[in-house]
Amino acid sequence: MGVNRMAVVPVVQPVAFPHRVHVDSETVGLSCDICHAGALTQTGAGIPPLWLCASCHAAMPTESDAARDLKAFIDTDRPIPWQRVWRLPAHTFFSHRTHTAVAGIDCAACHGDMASLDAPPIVPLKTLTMADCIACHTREQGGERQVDQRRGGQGPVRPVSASSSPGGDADCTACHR
Amino acid sequence: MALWGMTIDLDLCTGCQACALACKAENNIPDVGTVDVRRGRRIAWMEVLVQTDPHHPGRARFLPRPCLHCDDPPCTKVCPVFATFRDHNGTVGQVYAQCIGCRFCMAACPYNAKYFNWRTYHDPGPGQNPQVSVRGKGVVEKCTFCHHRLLLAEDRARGEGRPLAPGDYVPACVEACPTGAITFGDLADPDSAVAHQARSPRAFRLLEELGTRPKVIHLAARRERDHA
Ligand code: HEC
Ligand code: HEC
Ligand code: HEC
Ligand code: HEC
Ligand code: HEC
Repeated sequence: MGVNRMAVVPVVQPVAFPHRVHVDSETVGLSCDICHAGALTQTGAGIPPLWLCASCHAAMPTESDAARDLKAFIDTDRPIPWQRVWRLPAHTFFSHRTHTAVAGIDCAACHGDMASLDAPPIVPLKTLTMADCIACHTREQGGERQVDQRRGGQGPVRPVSASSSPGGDADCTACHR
Repeated sequence: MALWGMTIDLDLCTGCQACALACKAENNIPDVGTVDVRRGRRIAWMEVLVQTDPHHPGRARFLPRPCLHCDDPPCTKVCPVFATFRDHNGTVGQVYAQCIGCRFCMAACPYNAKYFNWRTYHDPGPGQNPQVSVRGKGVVEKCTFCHHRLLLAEDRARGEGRPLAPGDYVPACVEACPTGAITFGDLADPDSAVAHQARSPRAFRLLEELGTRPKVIHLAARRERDHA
């Protein structure tokens, strides 16, 4: 298992994709789930396929380096090898649908202000460790949780059984698989 | 809260091993290799136990044995780090990230349903079920009632704004059984098929005298009785 924290190694993306122009209603005004199609309906949010970029960019001028990099992928029809920034270890389960569509949590609560970026994030704008997950779940529940200090307050070590589902659950197997 | 449980009708079990194979594929269970098998290190979350009788050659009895998800589990009481515990649905969970590999739980389990990874038998990669983590060297693993399927089923139900319906969550072994010998569901719901079966006069729980209160309940084979 080992330590598998979220990326702290800087991520370099193959195309310098700017979120701001695409999301800002003054410019393109796309909503997040047009590109991240699973963000409201699936466990994984998903990364947009090349044809989606091509649908606008195939006919657009290529003046900047970023636009030329993109054009090269479009012309050769190669999928862009985007690198993951936020990534949980395989032994955890996380679902976007539960948090976005069901609980109504804003993307920015977990991902920070992605909409304002002019270049891809090189490290997560906000970390999501187990302590962060549980901190929000505890807050949502408005209740006390048994937090064991032996993990440096990193989370409850003794499972809190018989706790109910709404607002999240500190039973380890709610997130671990 | 549900109380997930399973019944296995030994009258219907033909010993075909479909459950064991489906489990192996679903849960990324490693092939430990012949050397380790000889050392008794085989990993089989669902194990079809075979009993032969020298007085009746050619006759065999089969008993599929997953983790029995005891309602009063002996294994959880000895875990020094709470890596194994009975969760709010009654299922006995095993958090691999928390496990330190002391194997106390294996010693405590009267059913030998827990297994140790003596080596790193395989790495995560293509061909494996991405919904289930690949356990590394030094952790104990066991049947989880395909817990990952529950997480996905609950997530889907939440997304559709409805409660979990019977049949939303079914472990791989139950799906695979060609004779329908295995029934799975909520034992806390008296009307569920599994609760109905659990009340059968044929129902027995393995080593129930130990007070472990297994939630995997076997139904004794009638055929065997008639022929004996
Ligand atoms: C709805 C149409 C649309 C889609 C879909 C779209 N873009 Fe854009 N993109 C634009 C517009 C409009 C601009 C602003 C162009 C400008 O400022 O000259 C832009 C700008 C960019 C730029 C910066 C170009 C520059 O000159 O600085 C990059 C890089 C880019 N897009 C990449 C992508 C990628 C990668 C995708 C697919 C994930 C994508 N875009 C999808 C419309 C779109
Ligand atoms: C035009 C398509 C497009 C739109 C609209 C869009 N994104 Fe993205 N997003 C991308 C692409 C392409 C990447 C990969 C490159 C990068 O990291 O910037 C990405 C990456 C991300 C990542 C990092 C994923 C990872 O690897 O961990 C997050 C988080 C994200 N987007 C959130 C959002 C949010 C929130 C919105 C709405 C405010 C949004 N995106 C709108 C295309 C888009
Ligand atoms: C409760 C916190 C949370 C919220 C809210 C959230 N995310 Fe995420 N997001 C995560 C986590 C955690 C991951 C890493 C998941 C993994 O590795 O399995 C992630 C990963 C991603 C990724 C990487 C690709 C993928 O398929 O997972 C994208 C893109 C993304 N999120 C977009 C969004 C968008 C868009 C929204 C808003 C509609 C959003 N997220 C809301 C926590 C959140
Ligand atoms: C900003 C607050 C917030 C953060 C951060 C957050 N969650 Fe949640 N989570 C919720 C809420 C609210 C619910 C309850 C949704 C419902 O059932 O209505 C929930 C529910 C869940 C559930 C469903 C099971 C249950 O206990 O109800 C899982 C699994 C889960 N979260 C995992 C995670 C993981 C893993 C992370 C960290 C990567 C995380 N969450 C971070 C707010 C959050
Ligand atoms: C709300 C979701 C959630 C719950 C509940 C939860 N965890 Fe975690 N856990 C995570 C996430 C996400 C990670 C990976 C990120 C990290 O390492 O912090 C993780 C990582 C871990 C790790 C590995 C840390 C490391 O350094 O590699 C351990 C050990 C762990 N959890 C134990 C537990 C135990 C024991 C419980 C029950 C008391 C539990 N977790 C409950 C989400 C959760």
